[in-house]
Amino acid sequence: MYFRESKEDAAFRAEIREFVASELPRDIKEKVAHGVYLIKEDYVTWQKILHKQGWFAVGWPKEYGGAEWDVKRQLMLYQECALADAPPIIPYGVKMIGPIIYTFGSDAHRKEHLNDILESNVWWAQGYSEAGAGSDLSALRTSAVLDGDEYVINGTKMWTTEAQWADKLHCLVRTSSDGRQQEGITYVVIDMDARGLSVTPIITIDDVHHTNQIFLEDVRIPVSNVIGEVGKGWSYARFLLGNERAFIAETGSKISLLNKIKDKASDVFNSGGRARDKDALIRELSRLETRLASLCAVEKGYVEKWIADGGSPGPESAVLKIRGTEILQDMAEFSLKLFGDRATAYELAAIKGLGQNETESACATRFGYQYLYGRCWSIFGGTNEIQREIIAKQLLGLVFK
Amino acid sequence: MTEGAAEETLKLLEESARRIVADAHPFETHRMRAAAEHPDCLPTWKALAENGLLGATVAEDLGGAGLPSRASALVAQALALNLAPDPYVESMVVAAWLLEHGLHPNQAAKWLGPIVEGASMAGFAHGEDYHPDGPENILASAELRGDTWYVSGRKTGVRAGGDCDWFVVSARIVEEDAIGLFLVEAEDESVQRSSFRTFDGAVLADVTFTESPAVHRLFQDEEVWRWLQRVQNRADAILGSQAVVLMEKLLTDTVDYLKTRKQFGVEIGQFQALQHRASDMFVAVEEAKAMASLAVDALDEERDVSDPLFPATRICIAETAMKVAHDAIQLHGGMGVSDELFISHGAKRLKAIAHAFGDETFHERRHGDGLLAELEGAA
Ligand SMILES: Cc1cc2nc3c(=O)[nH]c(=O)nc-3n(C[C@H](O)[C@H](O)[C@H](O)COP(=O)(O)OP(=O)(O)OC[C@H]3O[C@@H](n4cnc5c(N)ncnc54)[C@H](O)[C@@H]3O)c2cc1C
Repeated sequence: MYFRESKEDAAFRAEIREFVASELPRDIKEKVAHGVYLIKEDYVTWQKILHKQGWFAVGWPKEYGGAEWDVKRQLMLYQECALADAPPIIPYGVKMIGPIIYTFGSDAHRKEHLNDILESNVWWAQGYSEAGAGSDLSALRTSAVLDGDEYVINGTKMWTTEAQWADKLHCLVRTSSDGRQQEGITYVVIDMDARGLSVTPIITIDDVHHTNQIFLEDVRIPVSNVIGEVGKGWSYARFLLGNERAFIAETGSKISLLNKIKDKASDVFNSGGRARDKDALIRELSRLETRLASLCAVEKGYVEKWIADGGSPGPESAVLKIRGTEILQDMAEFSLKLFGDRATAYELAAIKGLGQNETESACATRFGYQYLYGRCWSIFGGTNEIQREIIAKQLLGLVFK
Repeated sequence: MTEGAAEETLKLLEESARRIVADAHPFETHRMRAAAEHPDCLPTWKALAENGLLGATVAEDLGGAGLPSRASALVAQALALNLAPDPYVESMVVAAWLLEHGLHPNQAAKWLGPIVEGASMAGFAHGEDYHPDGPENILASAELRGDTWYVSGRKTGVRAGGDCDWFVVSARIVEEDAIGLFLVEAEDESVQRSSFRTFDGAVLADVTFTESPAVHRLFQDEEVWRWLQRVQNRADAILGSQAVVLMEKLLTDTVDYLKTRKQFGVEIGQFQALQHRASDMFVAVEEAKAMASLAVDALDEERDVSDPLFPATRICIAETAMKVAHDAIQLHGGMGVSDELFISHGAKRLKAIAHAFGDETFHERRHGDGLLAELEGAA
């Protein structure tokens, strides 16, 4: 947004654009373009297409089947995909457990899991949070007790997103209550069809089933399902948080949303709607666009810095998360004003699929869906208050807890 | 009535309204609405009518209780607090009031009686894609043929429009270059309705009139736009009071949560960052409460139709309500976005209130227009 790229980068971007334009299935593109809820198959189909091109695990090392792209190229890929209305990549496998396995897992783990992740054959869910352990994640209590060559797991995980589609769960469990609470945490893999595991839906503010509660009652897993060392799970989870946060601003999907809002605004003004409020609405839109451009500029600077010094994101990702989520929320909230009497329209059928006749209320519903689901963004993945703590600690030179 | 007795009457009315609505529309029922195939749009209407609450502010000789506007605010607050979808503001505060004042007194009694009893309901069919800014936004038209007015045009977002028996419709009278208000039968074959649901659990309808015969023209020769401004002000005040009770509830629930939810070994209310957020929510509620209260009382005073108090109330409410709603969600963490607690439902209702009868931008412009006129007048 607002900046020129080198010839080389522009050519790379053009290549991605061309690829997505020719390979993204029409029906999936239509759904994303309209903001319709995607089903599992949509994500899997697209991820397999990316993989075939060698563009799926672009950040992974080559020896594990990745493309070893630098963050700048990765960012360009994600932006171009989002701008072309491709589904986002589901992070639980390729961005979370994959890097943990190739970094900390055994060769046997790599053999067992990495290929299925690359090929999107297995759907993963992330079982970190619990009812009592949200921001204070290391307070988690789901226990794993050694019994011969098995661990017996008991506890409840909360907010496990898309667990209803998952084959496997990567999960933090407590193997010891001695010492600091961070020390007794172990990283394990659990099959979703394990006996004793059950999934209960949680319906969110948007009336949609995205996330779940998982009950684990005497679930047995072989000792070999422990990833890395027993008791080191917390440090692996922190590694993951440091590693995969470079793209947290999700600027591609935000520019795409802004474009959709501008299209709608253009329809409204051209048809004479809200004539008297036009100036005020345009001013509001200007501010939103400016804030988004600033976010993109900050992101660009960070990416250049990470490439130059070989570093990985620290508090910078907190900056990107706070601003990114706030801008998303404000854009979605603004968009409702363009729908006048139908601003609050909410037809679940319009979220679940495209109808024959696309009505105004169906269109309004999908912006309402963005607005409602948008409230989750400042909560999951570390709340914005926790992100502010991270920045403040860095600024004031305080030690991390 | 003495002032003390009037206060007592209103207090009793508030208590009974809250009890009746809570019984008729409990939270668990509300939670099920999104999944229901055909949610009931009038779950409390009958109970409100039976207890004399629908007609609380309707004149006594028309079958009502003749109470001050504060009574309307209290009934509306009971509905909001229990998330009930019934179209009290649109159908009683606005449509029934227009009938009360716009019909010939002999006719008014005939129409208001069944409405107050809940046997018949009128909807307000006014918006045309957007909430009208001025007479120029009314494109629906009315034409006199013989003794009958015929209305044509499309009206949008009529609350509970599918359940209405009558519509009070605004339409342009081309020959007179004026806006008129007409009473049209909803079941007439010339009237088409298509309903859609909203995220706060209501059902609205787009209504198309095709040469639909009107049974009455309201306010015969008066300037109708001024009456439409008056109902705007009424809606502003009553919607504002609805927002206030929801904001108070969200604040109370959030404060309770801050005192009980523990993270990092302490109640989250120990974190200063959250204490300040809660304080700001409190400040917002104080402002909203004060403004809405002024606006409701002003309905019973002789105020100019373009009094800035009303748009100012709406601007204040839009800003404070969304602040409180979003902070209540945020301070609850994941629980704030789950459908299990009141929080997310209350927040959605607040958003819907902020968009009813004009959104924030609409009211800012409306207020600004008045300000500009004042400045230009002073120059
Ligand atoms: C839609 C959704 C999907 C999710 N998906 C997943 C998933 O797939 N897997 C998974 O493991 N988890 C998931 N989560 C969980 C998410 O990570 C947690 O909700 C989040 O970490 C916050 O925890 P909490 O909900 O317990 O809130 P709490 O931690 O209880 O926070 C409540 C409030 O207190 C504030 N607060 C807490 N500590 C402090 C502090 N020290 N200083 C200042 N303020 C503080 C918070 O910011 C918040 O405002 C999901 C959550 C949601 C809503």
